[in-house]
Parts: sequence; C-alpha cells; structure tokens
Amino acid sequence: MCKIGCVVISKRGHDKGRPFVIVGTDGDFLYLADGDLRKLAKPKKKKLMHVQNTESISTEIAEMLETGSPRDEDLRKVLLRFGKNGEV
Amino acid sequence: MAIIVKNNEQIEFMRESNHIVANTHELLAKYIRAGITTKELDAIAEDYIRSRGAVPSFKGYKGSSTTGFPGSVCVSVNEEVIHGIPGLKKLKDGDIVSIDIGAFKNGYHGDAARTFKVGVVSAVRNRLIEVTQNCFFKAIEYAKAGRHLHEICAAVQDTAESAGFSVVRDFVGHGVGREMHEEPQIPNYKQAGRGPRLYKGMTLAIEPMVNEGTHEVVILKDHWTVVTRDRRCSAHYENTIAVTDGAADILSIR
Repeated sequence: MCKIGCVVISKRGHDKGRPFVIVGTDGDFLYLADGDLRKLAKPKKKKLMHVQNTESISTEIAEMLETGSPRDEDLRKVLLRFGKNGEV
Repeated sequence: MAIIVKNNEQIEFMRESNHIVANTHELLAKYIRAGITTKELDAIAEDYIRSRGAVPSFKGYKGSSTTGFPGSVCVSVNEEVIHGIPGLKKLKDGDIVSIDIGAFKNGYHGDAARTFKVGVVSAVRNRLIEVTQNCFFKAIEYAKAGRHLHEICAAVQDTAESAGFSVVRDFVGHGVGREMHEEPQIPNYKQAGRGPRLYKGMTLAIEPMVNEGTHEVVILKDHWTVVTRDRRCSAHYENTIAVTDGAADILSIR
C-alpha cells in the first residue's frame, strides 16, 4: 500500500507525528520528504514499520515524481491538509 | 490503491462535472410523469450531458459485469434498487423512480442519484424517499477532515433503521475522481474499527440505498438490474462531496 506519492505519518524518531510524502522505496525502507524538515534533495530513509499509512495518495505529486521533479513547495502545499502532527 | 486527495483546482473540475449531473437531474424532474418510458428519460439525459461537452460516465461501463451498461443513466423503478437499464417500461402514477447519473468532463467524473415520485405516491414511499435523503445529510455531518470513514457508514445505517427501513449491504458508496470508482468503499452499514481518517481534498460519493423491507437484493438476468429480494420498494440518494475542514462541500448540489 505504501506507494510513491502516498502520505504517511512518522511513528518513530524525532519527527514523530509529522506527515511526509513517499518519494522513493527500497525494500523495507521508504524515502520520505516534506519539503520542510526533509527536502527532496535529501529525503529521509525510514523503515516501513516506523510510519503510519494515512491510506491517502496525492496523484499530483506521484505524477510529478514520475514525469518531472516536484518542488519542495509542492510537497509543503499538499501536506498542509494533513496537519503538522497528522491532526487537522 | 489508496484514497486520492485532490487539490482545489481538481475539485473545481469535479464541481463542473457534478453541476452537469445536477442540471440533468433538474431537467429530468420536469419530464418525469406517468406514461414516459425510462428509455426516453435516458435519451433526454444523454442529449443534455453531451450538449454540455461531457460524456455519460455509465454508458458502456463494465465494472465487474461482463457486459457494458447499455444506458447513459441508471433508471430504477420501485423494487429496482440500482442499475436499472433504461427500456420501454412506462412510468405509472404512484411509482418511485431512482435515477443515477454520471458525467465525465475535463478528466473528472461527477456522480449523483435522486429518487423521484411519479404523480401521487403512497405515504410509505414518500417516507422512504425522505429517510434516504436524511441518511445522506446525517452521514455528511461526519464527513469532515479528522473524522473517520466508518462514522459515515454508521450514520447511514442508524438513520435508516431507526425509521424502520433497511440499508443495502451488497452495494456501497465510493471515492470518485479521475475514475468512476476509486478508493475507499463506503458501505451504508456499520463496519469494524474506525476506518481511514478523512483528510481535506478527498472526494466521496456517499449513496444511501434504503429498502422498505429486507436489505437483501438480487441481480436480474440482464446482469445489471438490482432488485430487492422481497420486491418491496427501494430509494437511492447520492451526492459527490469534497471533504473540507468544516462542513462537507457538496459538489453535486448547485
């Protein structure tokens, strides 16, 4: 279920509670960015088990990741609706 | 698949498709009377949808069936719950007719259903229509960011059953957007757990299908028409909504 473009909430680490977009996957690891704490240029590698899936996907970001490169600003815009701590 | 969240621009595209659907319903309401065939209603709807630069979403739609849906809209009379195929059946005074319309424009679908009365209908049918509508409006009280999907399901069931009616289990509401049926599925009855959290930008087609008698339904040999097992009446009310931080934005009501 954790596909590129999906929004997840961090469950572990100092970023616990923050929403991120999956920008890459590598086996049991995900590459996460939010355009703020973790920029697209340096996404956070995090274990799959250390995130909570919101079951939501931004196809806009997924398309951008496939066809061109989204900007950190785009990620911030999408994540606005997911709240800082996964709370709206 | 996951639930697709839309941005404001995408929601505006969806609003346009849904407005076409809403206008089609308004137009059909003027034509619904005893003696008109369901096929005639289908033709009126198709002409209007196409005149607005949209395509009827249901025409040729296969879903899980092996044959494409032959009509542009679903017209279900009395005991027919959903997916009624437009044909030569004439509406009679006292009938209730559920019309489900989908329109596709600018890459996005609009989806809404209404149950109309033909002439004067019995008190129980009147009440059935009213309760079905109430189920939707009760459900959208829970359709806001931060709530959970299954609260919507429970609200529909509670409203219908407290009025002495039952809700259809075999067919459910759904997410809608670029695809006619997207994640999540939205059953009209209680579910275990809370379900996924709702976020701003999710677009959902919430569609209570309420039966006068049993909740059980059967599919006819035409592979599409769904009727109640006991052949008592059923009503349908559906709107596409966008989840916001506050009250749900009903896209298919102008």
